[in-house]
Amino acid sequence: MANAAPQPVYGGDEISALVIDPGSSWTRVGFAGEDSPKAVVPTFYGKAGDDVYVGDNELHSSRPGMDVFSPMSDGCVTDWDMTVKIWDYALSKRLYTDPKEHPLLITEPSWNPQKNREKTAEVAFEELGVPAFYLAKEAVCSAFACGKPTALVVDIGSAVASVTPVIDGLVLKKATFHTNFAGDYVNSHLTALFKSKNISLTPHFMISKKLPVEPGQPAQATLKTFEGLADSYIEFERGRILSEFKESVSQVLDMPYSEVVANARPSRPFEFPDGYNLNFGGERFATTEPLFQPQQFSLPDSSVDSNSQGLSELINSSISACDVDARANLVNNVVLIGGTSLLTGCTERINVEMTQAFPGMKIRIQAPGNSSERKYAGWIGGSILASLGTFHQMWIGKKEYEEVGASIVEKRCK
Amino acid sequence: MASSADVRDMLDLPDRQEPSSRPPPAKRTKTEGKRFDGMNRELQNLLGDNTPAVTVIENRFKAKPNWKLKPTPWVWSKFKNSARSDDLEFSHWVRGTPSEDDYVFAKFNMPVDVPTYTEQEYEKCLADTAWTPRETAYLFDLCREYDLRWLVIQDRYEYQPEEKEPPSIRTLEDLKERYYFCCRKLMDLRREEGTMEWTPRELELYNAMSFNKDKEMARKQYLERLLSRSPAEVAEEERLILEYRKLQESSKKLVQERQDLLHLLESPQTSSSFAQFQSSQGLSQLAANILANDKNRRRKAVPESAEAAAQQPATQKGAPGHGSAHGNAGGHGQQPAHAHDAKASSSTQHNSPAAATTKVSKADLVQSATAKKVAKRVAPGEEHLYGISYHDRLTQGVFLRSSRVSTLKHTVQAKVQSVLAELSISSKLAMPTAKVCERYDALQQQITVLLDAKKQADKLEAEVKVLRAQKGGGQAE
Ligand SMILES: Nc1ncnc2c1ncn2[C@@H]1O[C@H](COP(=O)(O)OP(=O)(O)O)[C@@H](O)[C@H]1O
Repeated sequence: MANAAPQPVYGGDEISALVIDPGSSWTRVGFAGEDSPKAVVPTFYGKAGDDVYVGDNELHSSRPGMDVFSPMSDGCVTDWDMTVKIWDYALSKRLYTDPKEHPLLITEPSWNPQKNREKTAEVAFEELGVPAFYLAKEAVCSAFACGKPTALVVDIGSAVASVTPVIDGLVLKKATFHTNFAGDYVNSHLTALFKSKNISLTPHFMISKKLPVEPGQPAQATLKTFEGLADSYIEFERGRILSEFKESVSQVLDMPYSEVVANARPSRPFEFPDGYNLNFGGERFATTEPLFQPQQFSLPDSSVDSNSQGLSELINSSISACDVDARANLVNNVVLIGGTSLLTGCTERINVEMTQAFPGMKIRIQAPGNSSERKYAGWIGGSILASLGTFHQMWIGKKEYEEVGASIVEKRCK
Repeated sequence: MASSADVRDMLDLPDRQEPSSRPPPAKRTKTEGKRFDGMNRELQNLLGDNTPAVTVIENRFKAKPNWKLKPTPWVWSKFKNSARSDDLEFSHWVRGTPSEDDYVFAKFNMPVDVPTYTEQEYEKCLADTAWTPRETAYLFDLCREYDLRWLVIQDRYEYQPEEKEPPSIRTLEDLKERYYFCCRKLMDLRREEGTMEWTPRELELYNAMSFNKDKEMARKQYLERLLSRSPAEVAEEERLILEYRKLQESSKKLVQERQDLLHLLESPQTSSSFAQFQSSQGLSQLAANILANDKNRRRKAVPESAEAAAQQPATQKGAPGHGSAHGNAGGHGQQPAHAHDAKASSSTQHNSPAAATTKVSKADLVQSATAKKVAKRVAPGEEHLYGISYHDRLTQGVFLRSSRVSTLKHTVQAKVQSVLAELSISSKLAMPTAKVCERYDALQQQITVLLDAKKQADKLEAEVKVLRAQKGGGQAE
């Protein structure tokens, strides 16, 4: 045994698996064992007649009549044909690999219905033709990415905000809660704000030339003209402005909301693609507050009702739904991830709210400092999981799938 | 060259020798030849021709690769995992030839030991009205599936009762109780039937599996209450804890005080014979000792009554004699020093009948020793007659004896005065002879002790009352 490989201490054993983490706004794809996804593609597809377009380049080029849709809703895949197209694009055009040669791990939200889970297995084995497959819970993976087997995972993504208790690498389903008051909801508040200020959100691609103007002065830009662009495409492009705004201007008030305090904070300027620019003061905070208080900050046409829970209520419900014995441990191991959690002040605010709600407990929030770790936590955890030596007994083999059928997912992937 | 010379001039360096007279290449080769591994060139240059006593050699480069050795290739090889139920093969990179051994990570596949039972066994000992065999089996399956992670088991517990069965709502405690009950029953049964050995480990397991549902629920209730305290309650609790600490502190102080007082009342023990003090040398040493002790004690008392000391630094410095002890008597810790001080001074100054008191302190020893010495020359009782008195130290100058009457601490003084008034003794001595002063001092001292004792007695009484009330209250409940 002179030439046997030394026993790895970290327990890793790479079998060159692939990991896909489909999020509501981005699908992350890469090789297990790496520390970040090789490809991050938008979870959207463009459709013009019978032609389908996926991938950044195709999606953002302006084609007359191309509608842009999302194949997901509520964090779960709903349009499987399109999802397969996106995955296939990412694997073959971005990773240049053939899924037939690699085991594949896909993440799913904790509330994914059984039918959807079985469909995922079916797609993996029959359409992608993988030799082995596993369906891992996003929340569990995120907890692993932060090095915790037990954690309260607070994930604020684009379409969904969720709170999931994870105990020893297993999700407590009955104590998992999710709402759609997340990044996209902030977007709709921002859109309403801009509308009320008569700001026309002209997307980047329409601008051909612009001149600098003083704050608040009308924009002086020459626009390109396009014909027959679909509204959904323009909305999609406007989303980029909103994302930019959220990243640079929006902030969460790091204490219980008060309009006076919010207005007293320094304002920040933002320049729109057409050159129009304005200072934003209290609005920076007011537009993110719906994450915490959807009822007090509801929009006329939104789906808010009296049962709608903000983020802190979501956390409280989740903790209260857990056994008392688990609570202290969960509260002490809060993992905060998801792109929207990158809003400045978000961690502090959640800390403040939790301290108020659980005064007798020690609260510790772990939020990866690095923004890509925050956004890709689910993928990174999947990457870790799929390269662990002890994990390889968990994969569903092609033969097993053929013998048992898709229902094996329920049995194996708990 | 000129600029370099200037620099040398400015730095007061000796002029460099003519370049031609110096053999630079030779010098370089010299150092080169002596180069030691792992040493800075600068350091090497400093050393010059000397060989260093210790050379630190660190390997900065990898060992030369052994070209003759054949490289061990990494191969992409398939492997089987015995932890899997199927024979699915994965591939990974292995160095050298793939080993035929079991997959290294297979050994970590350790299922939890959940007992199984037969139908007969169930009939015999596991039957329970609240549980059907089907539900029990379901529970055991879940336990096996989730390795006895109870929180998860309860979360995933979704038993679909059959039509006849009552719908079951199971709490975590219900599940645990049922499971552990069954496990224990099974162990019991198997022991009776002799199909299972009872090792100490098994016994331990058996005992560990005793599950008291009520206790567990009560515990959780307490925990819940503990965790759901409001911020105000938490703050209040913290305040109470602080208060409690304070009380503890003060009760400690009280005990200390009482001890000091008891110490004062107690007659000190003579531990050794006083023969050694009979010689004049021994005697003077003892006197020195006492003085030193006295000083030590006073010094120790200073931090306690830092304020008092700060107010009267003059007394402290100016009168190292016994008088100052009263002046800065700060806390109760000073008390013994008080008494001792007073006694020492009185006994050395006068050959009084103080020896008649039961207290036999070191000071008394001095006194009795002095008395003995004196007895050689003057008959007992005659000193007084002749007005002979002994002093260990005399203050210079003339003074009124009445000014030497010891004064007490202000608060104590007032109380003593009132007692004196009760006894109708004037605080102004009409005839302050040595004897009168001495007696007056002694009287004051005794009154102080009396007052202290009374204070202590009052305290104790109050305490007794409180405890009685508590005891009474406890009985009444
Ligand atoms: N720096 C940032 N500040 C605020 N919001 C951000 C930031 N970065 C990303 N986001 C928002 O986070 C969301 C995407 O988060 P992500 O976790 O990738 O969601 P998902 O997992 O649902 O795809 C988008 O709504 C995006 O606008």
